[in-house]
Amino acid sequence: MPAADDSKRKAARETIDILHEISTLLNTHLDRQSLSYCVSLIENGVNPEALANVIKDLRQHNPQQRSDNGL
Amino acid sequence: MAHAATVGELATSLVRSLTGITRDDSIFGGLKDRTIKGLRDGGHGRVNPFEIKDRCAGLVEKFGVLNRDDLAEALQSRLDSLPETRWIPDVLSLLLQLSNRPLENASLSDLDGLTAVFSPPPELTWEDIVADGPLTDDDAWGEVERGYHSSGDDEVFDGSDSEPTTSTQATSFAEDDIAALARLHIVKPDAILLGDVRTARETLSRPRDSSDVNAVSELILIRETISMLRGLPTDLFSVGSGAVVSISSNLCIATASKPMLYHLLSNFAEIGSQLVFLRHWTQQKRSEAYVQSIQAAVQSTTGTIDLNIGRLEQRFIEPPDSCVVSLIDVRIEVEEFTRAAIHLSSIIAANDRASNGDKSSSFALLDALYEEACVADMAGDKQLFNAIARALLAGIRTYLRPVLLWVSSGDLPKQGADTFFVRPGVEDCPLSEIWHKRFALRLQTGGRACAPEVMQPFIEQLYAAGKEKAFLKLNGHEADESVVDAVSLTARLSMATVTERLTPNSLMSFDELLHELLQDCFAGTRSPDTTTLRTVMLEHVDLLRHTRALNDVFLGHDGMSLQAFTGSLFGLLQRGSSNWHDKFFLTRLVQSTLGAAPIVHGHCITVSVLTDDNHPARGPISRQLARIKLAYAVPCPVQNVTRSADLPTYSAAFSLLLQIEYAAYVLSSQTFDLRKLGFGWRSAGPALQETLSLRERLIWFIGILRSHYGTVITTHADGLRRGLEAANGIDSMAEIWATHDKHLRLCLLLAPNVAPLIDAVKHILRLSESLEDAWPSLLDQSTSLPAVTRMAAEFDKILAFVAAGLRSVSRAGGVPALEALAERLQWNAG
Repeated sequence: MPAADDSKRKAARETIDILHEISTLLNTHLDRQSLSYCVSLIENGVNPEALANVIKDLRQHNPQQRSDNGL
Repeated sequence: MAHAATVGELATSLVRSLTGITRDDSIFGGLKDRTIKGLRDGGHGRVNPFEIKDRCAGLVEKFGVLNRDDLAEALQSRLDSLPETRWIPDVLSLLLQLSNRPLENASLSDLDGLTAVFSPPPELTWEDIVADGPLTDDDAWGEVERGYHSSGDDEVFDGSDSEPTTSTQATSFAEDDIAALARLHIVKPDAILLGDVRTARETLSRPRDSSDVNAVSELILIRETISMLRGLPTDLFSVGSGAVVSISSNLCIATASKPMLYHLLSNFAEIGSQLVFLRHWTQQKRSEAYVQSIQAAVQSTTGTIDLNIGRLEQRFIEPPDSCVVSLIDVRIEVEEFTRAAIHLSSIIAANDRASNGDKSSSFALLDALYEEACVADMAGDKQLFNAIARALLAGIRTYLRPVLLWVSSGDLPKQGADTFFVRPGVEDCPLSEIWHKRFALRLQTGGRACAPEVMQPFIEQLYAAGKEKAFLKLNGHEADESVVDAVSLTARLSMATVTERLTPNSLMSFDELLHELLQDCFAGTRSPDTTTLRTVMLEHVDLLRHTRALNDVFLGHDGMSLQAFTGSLFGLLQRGSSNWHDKFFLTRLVQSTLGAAPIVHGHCITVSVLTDDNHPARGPISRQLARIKLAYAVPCPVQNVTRSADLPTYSAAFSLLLQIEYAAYVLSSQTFDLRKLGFGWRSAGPALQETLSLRERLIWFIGILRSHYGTVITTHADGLRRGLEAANGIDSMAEIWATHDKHLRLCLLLAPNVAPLIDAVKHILRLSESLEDAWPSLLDQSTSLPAVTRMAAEFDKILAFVAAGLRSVSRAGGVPALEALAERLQWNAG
């Protein structure tokens, strides 16, 4: 049912949009694509705290991110 | 395995996204493994959704407390927009852990950059088409079979299940969006709400004589009443013939008894009847312009009432928190704001009943409004006064326009001429009678001018002002050509001016103020450089010069010119010339003698000789002299003052003057030269002595007459000049001239009531001629003493008669000149 899939996708897009805006308000420095991956990982059972630790670790390896974080 | 693969793929993407390191990089593999290992770490507790919710609420509150309401509102609105899914708390937990001092670093402007800019797909170019596949085939550019594209092969669009559009004109937007938008704004009436109204209508529609008594609510009655007062048809009230509103339903209410209810509704019906009459009256076609203005003013009053009814109705449509639905309150309120209109309606209705086509009441409505306005002003009823005065002033402003046209130009109005206070008189009257006959006042029954009562004090003034303009125009002395702006002159006759003048001055009445305003309005028709009739008459027409000329021509003011004329004339008469009565000769003689004076226009003098039964061609010379009639052609404007071209008094005075002069001429002629006597005076016989004595007395009498004549003429001439100089119009000038003429006639004994006296005087004057005729016989003493004695006795008798007659006339008429003449005649008599 293409129409139902469309509406689901549309709803998912809207949810991602809202989460991205919340992410921006909280100054998490997550772009939309990264946030999408994070949401997908959480939907696949990844613990949010573990994910947060992984993200912080990975940011250590990104000079650009390190400067944004004030490191 | 699939789950692990999914997580692995997502981890790979996450690494690439967060670090920017690609697969080709050497450290990519290690990062990926570490990431996957970290994601599989199960040493963390599960997320508590309630805790996450509390943390989010706490964060919002923190933003608010720390004066970042923008962030708080934005965050709260996004949190409220999130769907209720299983993973949202986990995602929020992740975001909260990754948040980095949002209070200092976050800004709403950052959200603006999140909206993806819509970029249209790149335009398809020929290069793209050719790159896709070059159009080199021979049949690529061949003829296209038209039938393949026939619209009949197209799939038929079945629009039966499509949503209706709101506009037939295509726009760049999708039609269904506009239709949906339109449907959002359409409010369908609630049929349940209308059910009460339909039920109420059915209840009220039942006739009054029906045995069913129906209960209705007070609100329904108020709604019906308001509609009736607006002039709309209702079920409760019906409008019969003569604009009478009556109650047509049999009903009751729970909060009042039936008699009370019907009394209340009857009050409303009376008010409604008056308003219906007023509305009908304002719609009537009326020919009088001032009535149309009153209709407009009354219509604005009914408009104000409609506004008040609307405000009253609004209170029940959008009731405030505490709104009492009371028919009695409505009645009190309605009576208050309709009181003035009802009074106005009664005035107009009474006037309609009274006039009903009666021509004598052309301005009865204006008069009624004027009277009621004065009464309301005296009573201090401002509301009533304002309503009535507004209508009155509107009517007066319109009425004044043709009046101001008349006053400023002397032209009668074309419309409404049959009710204008001036009517045309004799259309083709000569210029010498324009002032008195060209126009006339139109009078009503009772002798008053056909004008409103408020205008009566000004009628004479306005009539004269308009006649003055017409007179000047018709006599070629065109007055000021500027057009009077009637609208601006009458603009001060407004309620604003009345209120402004009456408010600070409580002792001034409306009647007094209106007279002042009207006076100012009429004064505005004259500018300082307007040529007045008085100026024209005194300076251009030279009225005073012509009146002085009359003295010279008719009354012998210049003795030398008179003597020159009489000398020539009497010489001809005595010589028995047959041509003396030739009018051309006499005219030439008069023009060369009497007409030679500087102030006299000699060419205006003509002489005619009468020949009728009263003026026989033969007889004593003194009688012949009475046939000579002198005429002086004064200009037509002057004739409007003298009211006569012939000037009968002056003609009669000239005739008497000629007889007096002839008598003097005869008595002082060489005939009576005593040096011709061959003997001395003392030797003369008694008859001769008596004759000489009689002659002396006749000379004395003539001298007194001449002296009286000269005094009267001089005195009256001075008085006439002063009177004419002071006169301000032709009416006063004509009155002064008429008085002067009457007095002159009396003093010169030319009036009909003193005819016996003048006849006696003329008899004495003829004695002179008789004496002259008898002198030759007296010289040779053939005439006896008794004959002379008889003549002397006749003289004494007539003299005594004249003296007594003069004295009685002077006492009766109070004429000092005649009294003086009588005394002189009595002193020296005998």
